[in-house]
Amino acid sequence: MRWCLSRSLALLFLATLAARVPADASASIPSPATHKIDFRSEIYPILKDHCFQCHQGSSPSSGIRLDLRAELTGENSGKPLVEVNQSSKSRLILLVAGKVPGKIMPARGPRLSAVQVGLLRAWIDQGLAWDERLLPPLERTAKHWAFQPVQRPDVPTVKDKTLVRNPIDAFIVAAKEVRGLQPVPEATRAILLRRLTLDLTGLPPTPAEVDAFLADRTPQAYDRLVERLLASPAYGERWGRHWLDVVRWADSEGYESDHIRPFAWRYRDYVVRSFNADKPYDRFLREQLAGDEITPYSDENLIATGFLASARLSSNEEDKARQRNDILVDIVNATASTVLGLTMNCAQCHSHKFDPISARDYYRFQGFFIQGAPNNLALRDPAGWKAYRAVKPPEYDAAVRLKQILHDQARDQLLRERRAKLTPAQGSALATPEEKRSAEQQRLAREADLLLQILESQIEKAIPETDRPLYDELKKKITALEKQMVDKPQTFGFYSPVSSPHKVEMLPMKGFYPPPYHPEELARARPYLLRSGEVHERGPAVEVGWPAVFGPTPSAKVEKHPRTALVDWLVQPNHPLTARVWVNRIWQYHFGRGLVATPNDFGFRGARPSHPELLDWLASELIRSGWSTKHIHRLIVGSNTYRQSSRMNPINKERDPENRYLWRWTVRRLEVEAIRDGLLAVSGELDRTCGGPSIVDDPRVVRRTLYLLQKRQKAPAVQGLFDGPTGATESCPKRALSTVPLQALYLLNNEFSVLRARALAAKVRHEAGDHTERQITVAMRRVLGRAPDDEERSAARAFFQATSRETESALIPYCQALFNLNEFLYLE
Amino acid sequence: MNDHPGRTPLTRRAMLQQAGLGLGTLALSLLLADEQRLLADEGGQLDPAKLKGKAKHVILLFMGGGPSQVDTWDPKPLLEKLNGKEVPASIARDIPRIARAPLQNLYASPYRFTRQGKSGLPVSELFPEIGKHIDDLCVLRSCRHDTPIHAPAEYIATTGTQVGDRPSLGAWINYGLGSANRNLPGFVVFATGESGRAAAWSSGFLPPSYQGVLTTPAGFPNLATPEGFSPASRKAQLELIERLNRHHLQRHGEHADLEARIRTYELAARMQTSAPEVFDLGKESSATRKLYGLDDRETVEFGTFCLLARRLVERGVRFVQLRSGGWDAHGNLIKNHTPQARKTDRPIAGLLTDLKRTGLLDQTLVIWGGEFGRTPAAENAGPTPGRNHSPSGYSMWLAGGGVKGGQCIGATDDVGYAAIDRPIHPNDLHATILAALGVEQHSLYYLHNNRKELVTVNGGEVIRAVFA
Repeated sequence: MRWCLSRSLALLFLATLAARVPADASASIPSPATHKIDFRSEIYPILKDHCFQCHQGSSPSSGIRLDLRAELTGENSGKPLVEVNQSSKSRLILLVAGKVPGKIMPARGPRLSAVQVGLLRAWIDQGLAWDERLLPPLERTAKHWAFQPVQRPDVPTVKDKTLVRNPIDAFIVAAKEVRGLQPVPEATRAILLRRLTLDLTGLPPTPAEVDAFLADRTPQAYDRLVERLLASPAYGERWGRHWLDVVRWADSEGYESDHIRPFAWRYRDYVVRSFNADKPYDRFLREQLAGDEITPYSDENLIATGFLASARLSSNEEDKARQRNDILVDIVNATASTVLGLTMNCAQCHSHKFDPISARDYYRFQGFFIQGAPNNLALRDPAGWKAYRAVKPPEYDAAVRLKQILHDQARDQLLRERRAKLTPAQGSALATPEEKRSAEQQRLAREADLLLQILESQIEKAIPETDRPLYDELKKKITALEKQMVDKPQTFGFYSPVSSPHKVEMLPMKGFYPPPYHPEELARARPYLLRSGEVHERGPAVEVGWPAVFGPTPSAKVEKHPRTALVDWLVQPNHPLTARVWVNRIWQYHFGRGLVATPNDFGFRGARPSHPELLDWLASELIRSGWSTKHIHRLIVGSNTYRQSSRMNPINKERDPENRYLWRWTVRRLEVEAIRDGLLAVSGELDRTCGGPSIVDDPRVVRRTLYLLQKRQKAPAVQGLFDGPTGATESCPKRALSTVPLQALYLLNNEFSVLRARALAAKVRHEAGDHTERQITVAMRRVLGRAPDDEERSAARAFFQATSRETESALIPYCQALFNLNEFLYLE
Repeated sequence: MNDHPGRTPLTRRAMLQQAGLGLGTLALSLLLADEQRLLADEGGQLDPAKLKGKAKHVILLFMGGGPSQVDTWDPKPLLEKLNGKEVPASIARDIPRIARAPLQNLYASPYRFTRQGKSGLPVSELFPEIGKHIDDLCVLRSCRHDTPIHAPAEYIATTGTQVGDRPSLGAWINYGLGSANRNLPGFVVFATGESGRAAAWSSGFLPPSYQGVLTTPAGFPNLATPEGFSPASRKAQLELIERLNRHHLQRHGEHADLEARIRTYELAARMQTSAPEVFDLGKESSATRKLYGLDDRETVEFGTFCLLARRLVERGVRFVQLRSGGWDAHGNLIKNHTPQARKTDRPIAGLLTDLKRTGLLDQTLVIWGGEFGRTPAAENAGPTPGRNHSPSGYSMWLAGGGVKGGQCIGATDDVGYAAIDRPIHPNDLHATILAALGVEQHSLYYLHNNRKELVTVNGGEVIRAVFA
């Protein structure tokens, strides 16, 4: 939930209004004019002279603008200022006629005359005619570059053709030539090997890989290297982690109680597998957004819905409507950021100030997800069930069933007692269908819902004395039996019993107040515009759909399989955003900065692309290749642009100090995963096992960082130090890169670093014996992939001489020193 | 953020580079002056030298669990008369209807209040030592918000909203002003009590390096040289790292990030040599140790935090957050508040005395308070009543840093339930804390998702009366 200033103000305002009694409600409002109204000559001048000074444009007073018809009718905000054909009920009229206590409009300047009010009334009563030439609807946005369909541009011709290895270079070189940027040399082969290996797999090359690559002088050596790396399972572990950042995935619920989601790891593994398989991006999106709707059923599709299920969830939230809405808000924001590259967040509470996304659009979009919920979902995995049954003690099922009966009896009894305590007004409010409840009844129903909400702990207390010994015994027995058992095969995913054609069993979730799961309520769920984003301020019902600026949503299709319809739209070849947003992310992870520098914001306020045509060319390549991510990788890493050296060039620096036009490789620090994994790799300890449940961080854990338990409230400390994921509270499009002394202290003093240094030293000693010169070389080759030069050798010798007198072994601190080298920690 | 239409401010780094100072001495000294802040440029940082506020440092004494206002800083004589009775309708009318706010069975404070100091403000017998400083305290009696649940309320108090995903105040100030001591982090946290409240010192959407460094009296994490490293071998190791990194830089050619990273080793080494000194309380006289209650089993823990807070502030740390958990007096008020107060009274009084003695109080804003207060009504009817959570009207106090002491601001109703005069939302308090530092609340910002994020995202009004 995102709090906004306007939201709190609006609530305050509503509260103030409610508290006051109308002062002169009885006084009459001037009657409407009786003639046919002409907007241009009779209404427009009133609005212009008396209202527009404050109430027009993108930052109007109180957020209320009168220069858009849709704002007057409340179409965008759910807060209508006029009721078309009913001027006497229109807030605009009440305000100008002084019928709203404590408030009169215009707030400044003369009041409207009775004649003017009468004209406005007639205008409203006659259907609120409008002149779009005079006051056009929001349109600037339809012209916004990112909302235009992708057009495959021609590859530009450049002066110096030797600089062009593939079309990417043509676009880059053309832009450089315009700006007078000079070519820089290609990086050395050793650097290219290191750059590619770290970039594609997140691991440094081994000495053997270095030797093999440097020895291979054939023209295909580079391409072969690329193929080897793209085929390595480590590729998916590296690039999957990028995706997990964007989709705000974690192993726990977040908020205060932050329960672990013991099966969330399956989605993490799904992402890794998908990257490794080069799953077409359109298919990848379909599985993640609509996996439960896809026919035929597969476990893999269900696991993929972990994208939606990664929403944070406050299991301490007693207000179930709020709890559910917070999840939906999280899902909408993450989906829009991830796939569309749009920040819809703002529109939760008010129409977006800069982008053409209204609050109505927001809740229409929410509608796609409203009939589903995150849950622990049983998989069909036959081997998993076989394993489960194989070790299940025979008496287990009976014990569980009996305990459930006692539990349900107590719950039903409690429910009866609570129902009996409801006031008649509460009872009738509950009995009234939701959409027919008055505001007061809505409040009463909410009260009643809270009263009827029964917590697990209350049920336990309510077990009758006679049943208690049996109940306690069963509990103990079940716990004991479960210790010998394995978990049922399950995943933490998102499932709609309404739109999914498949039956999926829900398994229990942990938490004090896990969200209730009621298929019948999900079936009834319809999207409503929530005023100011407040779950209990329900506005008009809206139709499920994507933002109106992208055109009409076919309602019949959406009705049946809403999320499938959403994906169908997203992956249309002429969709303006999906492909652009994805190729831009790929580009960013390769070069450190996207062609659009704001990867989660392609909207009006986002950055303009540095190379718009290249962006479109890549987007169309993605689609042409059948949405192949690896195809884009091959193009990028195969280009001269990617192979440039990072050398400084004073003239270029003068002309493009930020290297926006990519005249050289930008050296940047590695991410926390590549640093921690790199230490393990060079010390020879890295356990390359792929996948499985997450592991609690500990200096002795030697799996890749990807597999450390991602608890939102307590992420591994090293991640906080090196700008890795911490709270996963929202989509993270780009990590920060800080350089602080605490990082140096970690690499110098933390037990993890010391353990790696010891292990590396042991390896080096094994290979080089006690021969110092050989140790110097072997250690450096393992860490940096190359032998020391003269200066480095002499520095190392000096160190060994100074230290050997002090300690038994200078080798360990020498090895550890190498972990601290910029060359080791930076992508060059 | 140079890609935004209509805005082309230079990052500081770009400025240095454009001035041709990439590796020059000026650039280096600037880099050194504030390593962290220079390397994360999203606008909205401030130059501490130009700020006019009296306060240069903040010490937040966070009383987790929620101390009761009517037993601490907001005495209500009427409660004596109404003990066991209902809240009179005339008062009940203005009490917000939120969960856990019963109106029956008022419970008179079991603690005596006496007027103290020149100001004659009433002080509860819970705080005999802090009471001696009453003329330096500005008591805020009308703090309020709407959330009667611990964690969300703690997040409102520390981050401004209840979700717990925004940057904490300490992280904001660390980001905006940096540490005045390049050898020490800018934001240090000591905590006892409930775990899992890390959001209260997290960096939210700011770069993670601005989060509070959770510390123990043993020192910062990763400060101790590992076993097997003699001082001489460590020194030689650092020299080796420096030499190899310099060599690499030379081969590579000018690069501000690589250069800055080399410098972090100097900073780390200095931190490593200076930090143990900060945490070495053996250097303090026995009188000082006694002042903070280090001679008493009950007060030694929080006393150590307080003494370390003074030592950190003295050395330039910008924000120190001390958390004393456990004020959640549901079952038995006396059994809870009496020892809780005893644990903290002497240490906090010692801190105030010491800060004053060393002249630091003038430039250090000290803040005392919890995530909310407690109900004037009893929580259970037995012989040992407790009090439930109540965010509708509770007390905090401020001292030092230009604050005018010996005064009270705001008021609750006659039973101490709801703030009725000059309600102070945590957002107002945040604006006020920034003001004490000389920071106008809109001048400190961070561009996140293209939105200019502020500390006081929901607004916040500076309480001017706080200042002298």
